[in-house]
Amino acid sequence: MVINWLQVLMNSLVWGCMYLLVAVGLSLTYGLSRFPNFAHAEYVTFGAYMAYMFFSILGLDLYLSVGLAVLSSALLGGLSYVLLFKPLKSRGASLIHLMVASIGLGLLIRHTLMQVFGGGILSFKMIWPCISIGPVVTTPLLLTAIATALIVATLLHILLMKTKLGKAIRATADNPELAAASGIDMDRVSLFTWLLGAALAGFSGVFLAMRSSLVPLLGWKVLLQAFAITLLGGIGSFYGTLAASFILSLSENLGVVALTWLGLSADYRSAVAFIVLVSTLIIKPEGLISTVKRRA
Amino acid sequence: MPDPLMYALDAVAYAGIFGMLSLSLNLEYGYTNLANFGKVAFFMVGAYVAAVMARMKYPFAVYALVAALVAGFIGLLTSLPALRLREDFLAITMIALGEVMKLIVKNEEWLAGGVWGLSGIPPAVVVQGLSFRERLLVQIALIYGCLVACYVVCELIAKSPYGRVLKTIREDELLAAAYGKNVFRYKACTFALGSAVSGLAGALFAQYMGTVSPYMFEPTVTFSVWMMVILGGPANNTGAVLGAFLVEGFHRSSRLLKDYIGLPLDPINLQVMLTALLVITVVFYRPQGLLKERITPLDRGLLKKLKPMYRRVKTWVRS
Amino acid sequence: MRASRSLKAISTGLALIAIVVVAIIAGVAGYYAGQSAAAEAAYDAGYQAGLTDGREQALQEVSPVLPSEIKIGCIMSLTGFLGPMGENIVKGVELAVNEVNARGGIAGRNIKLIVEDDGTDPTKGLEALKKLVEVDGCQVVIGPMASGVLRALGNYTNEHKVVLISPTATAPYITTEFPDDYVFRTVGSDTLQGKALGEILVDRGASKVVILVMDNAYGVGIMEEAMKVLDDRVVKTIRYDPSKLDFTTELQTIKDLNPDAVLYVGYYEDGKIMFKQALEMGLDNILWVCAEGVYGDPMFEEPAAAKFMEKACIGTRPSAPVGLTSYELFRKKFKEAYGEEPPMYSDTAYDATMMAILAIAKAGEYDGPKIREALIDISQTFMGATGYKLFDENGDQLYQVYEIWDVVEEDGKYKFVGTGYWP
Repeated sequence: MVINWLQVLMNSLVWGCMYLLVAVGLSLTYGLSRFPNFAHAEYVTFGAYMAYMFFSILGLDLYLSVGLAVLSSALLGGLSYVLLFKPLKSRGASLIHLMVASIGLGLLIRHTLMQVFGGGILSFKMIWPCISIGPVVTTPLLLTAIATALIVATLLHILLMKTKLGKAIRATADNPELAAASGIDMDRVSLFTWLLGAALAGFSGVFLAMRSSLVPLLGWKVLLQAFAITLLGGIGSFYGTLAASFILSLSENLGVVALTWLGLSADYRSAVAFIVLVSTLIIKPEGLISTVKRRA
Repeated sequence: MPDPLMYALDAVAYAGIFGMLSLSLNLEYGYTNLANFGKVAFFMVGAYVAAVMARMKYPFAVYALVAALVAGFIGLLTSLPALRLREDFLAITMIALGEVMKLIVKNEEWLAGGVWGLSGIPPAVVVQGLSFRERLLVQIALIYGCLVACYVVCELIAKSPYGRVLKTIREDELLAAAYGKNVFRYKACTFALGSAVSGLAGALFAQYMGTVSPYMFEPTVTFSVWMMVILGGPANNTGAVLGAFLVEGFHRSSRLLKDYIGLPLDPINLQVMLTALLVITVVFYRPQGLLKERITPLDRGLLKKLKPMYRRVKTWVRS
Repeated sequence: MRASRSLKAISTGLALIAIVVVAIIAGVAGYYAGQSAAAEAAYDAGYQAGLTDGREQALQEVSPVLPSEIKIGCIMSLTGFLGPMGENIVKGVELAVNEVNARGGIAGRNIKLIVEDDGTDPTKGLEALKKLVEVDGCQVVIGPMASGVLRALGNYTNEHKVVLISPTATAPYITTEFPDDYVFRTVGSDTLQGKALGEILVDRGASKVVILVMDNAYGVGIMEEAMKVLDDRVVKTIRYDPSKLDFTTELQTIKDLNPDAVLYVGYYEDGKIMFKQALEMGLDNILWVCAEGVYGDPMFEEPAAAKFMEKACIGTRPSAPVGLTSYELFRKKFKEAYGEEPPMYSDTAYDATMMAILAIAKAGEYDGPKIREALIDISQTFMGATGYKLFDENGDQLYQVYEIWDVVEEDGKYKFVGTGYWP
């Protein structure tokens, strides 16, 4: 069987970029607020539906629609933090309570979207011409996705390393008590992280929906991968997430190649993320780059 | 001829099966703070094992036992990597497990009928010449027999020294470890036991429905069970069963309600949204649920003794 | 003081008299007014009572055992995986019911359609059926859509002797699992479609075929039937998860194998993505033979998919024999009622409902077994929107003609055209 390895690499690159956008937000909020936000998947879906609404229903310019979609996702993330998670935490809700509440929130968002837009498949009605770069086939959308991810990654790097806010974020993720004692405004830092995380999630949702189709389960389908990446890269670590996104994406695509070669169903591709997840937990639960001191 | 009583009895039967799931989750979460977000996976395992064996004409007692054992074993196995770690890792792993198990079932036809599922599962107890209502009553008797047995077991565990250790683990693992308890072993046992009960519930479900298919085991089932436990009250077995009745009743009545009140929303969307809102509200305002945990005098005495010890241990550990 | 007392004094006396007088006048007037109003009301009431009672009695004499309101249940997937299809198919059912009700219903009785959602979940489907039968007392139910859900309902249907007519369940196993019973289908089993697709490929001289199907009962069912025909022409079978958003790896495998043709089974959601990505990968230069899951205007919402289909796809779909007038009539009615072309399977749903209504009328009794007998009778002469609906002994369609379709572009718009028939 002939395998176009370059194409596999290309696919991995593209998916790695998309996963990166989804997972960064999750990892940052997870590290900061110390709980996995299962509703993060629905920020992805929400962003995609908002873009659809602005672009296909209201007929606004494409770039404007995407921008508004990103802003609305950020808003959703911020609201969920301020209205739900922050109050819960201040009431002393346990980790499990927060997780359950986040699942509830996620379902609420998803079914509201289903009610408003119908449970059906929607499409952005865009056609992307195929571009062949040597033996590799791609489209302008995917190239844009790669470019966007790279730009976002660079900007985040600059943010985290060079700006005061970025340093505050890193400090809070590393050692919240010390950060608070140093006079960092925890609330402001948290709010910003949540806004940013949700915004990125919404952004990735737009790409995912444009690449395939817009369905209510859009976000949920990539949640498992997002968690695997978060754990592999180390919760709260931007650079870890960066590396892990591409590692997972490559593993998945290689996995599918292997599955088809072995004659097994390609359906098992999600199992790759699962295996990565479990392996990380067994071998090195802190992930590649651990920033969070594990509480016993 | 319309026979609403049958529909009501059917709801009672479902509530009984879910009551067992609720009890098992209560054991895991309510008493031991284990975040099992993959409950549907063990439910499914139990149902499929039972389905395969029932079609091969094994009697109920045999396949129910095997279903429980297999489910318990898988529960044990899959929780091992995550039990040493925090609750959230367990939660994520369990959700992932549910999805992967469904994949396996969907793709391995030789094992489990693949996408078609399995059908033709005979009911556990077959008595000739009974009317529909009587057959349903027999089913209910069987289900509630198992439910009562599970309830008794869970209550015994909760009130026993084993249960007290679980509660200690729930409150402060370090303290339990300081007392020389192998925390990991307790957690693993509890998880296995909870999964086994889920497997039993799955077996009952399979023979009640008559067919099983992968599409019957979506993650929303897990969420419903969590809803039942949280609403009814974690760490209270009666509450868990009560929660099951309430949630099942809510699902059924919302389907009936739409005929009388023009709902602006599709009933299934409405159901999920209301359930989600309810869960969020309960977590917010009354995390203890409807029926609070009952602290028996013995516990109280123990707590009194534990407090100063606890403080001493804590300062020692921190130094 | 004195003034007020005197005023009071005056008012008391006069007031009393005035009150009494006014009261008497009011009473008398009221009495007369009430008299006539009451009389009229009584008369009207009597008239109405006579009208309704008399009508009831007349109806009773006509058909003594039909209830005054005839309920037809409907289990559709309005949410879940088949949700988008379900919303469309319900329209076909409603069209039939509304049409008959507009003409007075069955023997003067109104038909009440009760629609339940099964969420494409067998558990919910069974619960919905139980609700329809036990709470609402339905003896006839249209639906469900998915073969997997139908499977969970079959035993219950047979035990409780309730007629179940599915307009869309095509899995082959329904035939063998529920023979000679209360489960009917107005659409042909996939045993035939798989064969059709296979034979088309053979006719076109394909010697190297890849089978790409959804990993569910529908896809795998067709695959297995097609493989019986294609035999060793099949170099690879790929079963994919329709809920994944990306099929580039599967498509890459196909590309590497370089087959003559691909046999494809998918629905709208995954189909759009599949075709879009296939176009992107340049797989539009081989022949794609598709099952009817991707037949429908929603496919054209994705321009890439439309383009791909125009270039590379042909397919089959269950259809009526050539140039059927009854389909055109149905189509006209549908367009008038809903303002759009009838979507896939709304025609079989319409036929199923019509047959159910006719069976109830013929049976004259709202009773499952009698309706079933009547249904079998009706099917022998019924000509529906999708042609003859004769049931075989298993409640399956005896004939099923498949139309071979192609996609063409006309003035920038894409549409489906029929290019032939099978058999």
